[in-house]
Amino acid sequence: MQDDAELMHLTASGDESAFRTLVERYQGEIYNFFLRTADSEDDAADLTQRLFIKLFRSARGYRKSSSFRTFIFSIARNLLIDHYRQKNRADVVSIDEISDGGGEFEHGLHDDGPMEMIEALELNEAFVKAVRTLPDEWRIAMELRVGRQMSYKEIASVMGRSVSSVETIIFRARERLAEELKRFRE
Amino acid sequence: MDCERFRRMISKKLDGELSRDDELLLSKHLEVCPDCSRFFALTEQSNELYRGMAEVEVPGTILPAIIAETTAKERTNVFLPRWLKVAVAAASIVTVLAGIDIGKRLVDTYTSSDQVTLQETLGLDYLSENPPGSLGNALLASSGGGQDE
Ligand SMILES: [Zn+2]
Repeated sequence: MQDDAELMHLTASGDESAFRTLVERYQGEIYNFFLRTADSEDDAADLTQRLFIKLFRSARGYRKSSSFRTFIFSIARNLLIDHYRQKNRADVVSIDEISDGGGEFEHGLHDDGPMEMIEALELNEAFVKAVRTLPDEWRIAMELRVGRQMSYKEIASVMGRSVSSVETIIFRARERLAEELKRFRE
Repeated sequence: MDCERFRRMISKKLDGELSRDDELLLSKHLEVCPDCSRFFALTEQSNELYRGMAEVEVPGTILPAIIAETTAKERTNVFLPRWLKVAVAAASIVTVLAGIDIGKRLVDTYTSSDQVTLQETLGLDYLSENPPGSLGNALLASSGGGQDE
């Protein structure tokens, strides 16, 4: 398998198949990242396209520094912040928008009876709502950590923050989610 | 007891970022603090719920749209020799400024897909982005206009 940095250099020299390989390699992760952090499926698709066009144009200036994955998610995060600003939306998404995209749960996880299943689906739904109403930066950090399985150090690099600030953001997000789960149970 | 300190540790533990020393301190605290034990259970559950969210398949329209956008716009700069770019650029100017048909024919002959880049280079990007007959237009058409269906 060709190294990502190598593919970027080949892209810069006009190798279209190298660029296509990069898109195929990362589009799933990037699309799902946007799906859970942007406002709708359309926004996620649009942001994914914009990201790869940006990546293509940055190929010539690309220098291998930290990991390529960190690099591509930094672009993703910047696009997302611009997207939030353009939408001029408050830090919290309204309840009506919450059900759009990114909230699907794997089925087949709950093989219990019908009542247990309904309860589990309600819990999943409540949880997705709780995630989507987290402040933007908290939601991004949680998605990078739990969704994309990045380390604090990698997240710090993507978000342009210190490791301790990332640690705090994730902790606050978890506190909020724990609170929501507790409320759901009561 | 400084419970917030231990709750921070719980969050780090779930992320595999807790040191061995703190790991020991935390387990001792959890033995005596039901509130933190409850927090631990809730955050563990929220992690499981988060991981239960399905990864969605990427819409098939995305890749063709990206490829169309990048190949149509950037091909000239990458592949055409410099002298040819200059010649085609000059022909474009002739077309735009004088409206003489020969300029257009020159452009069409060399590269029907490169007008966008040349127009951009010349600061003429108010002209149609993917003119009819261009590669960009064809690729966009074949991918449903690059839009979601
Ligand atoms: Zn405690």
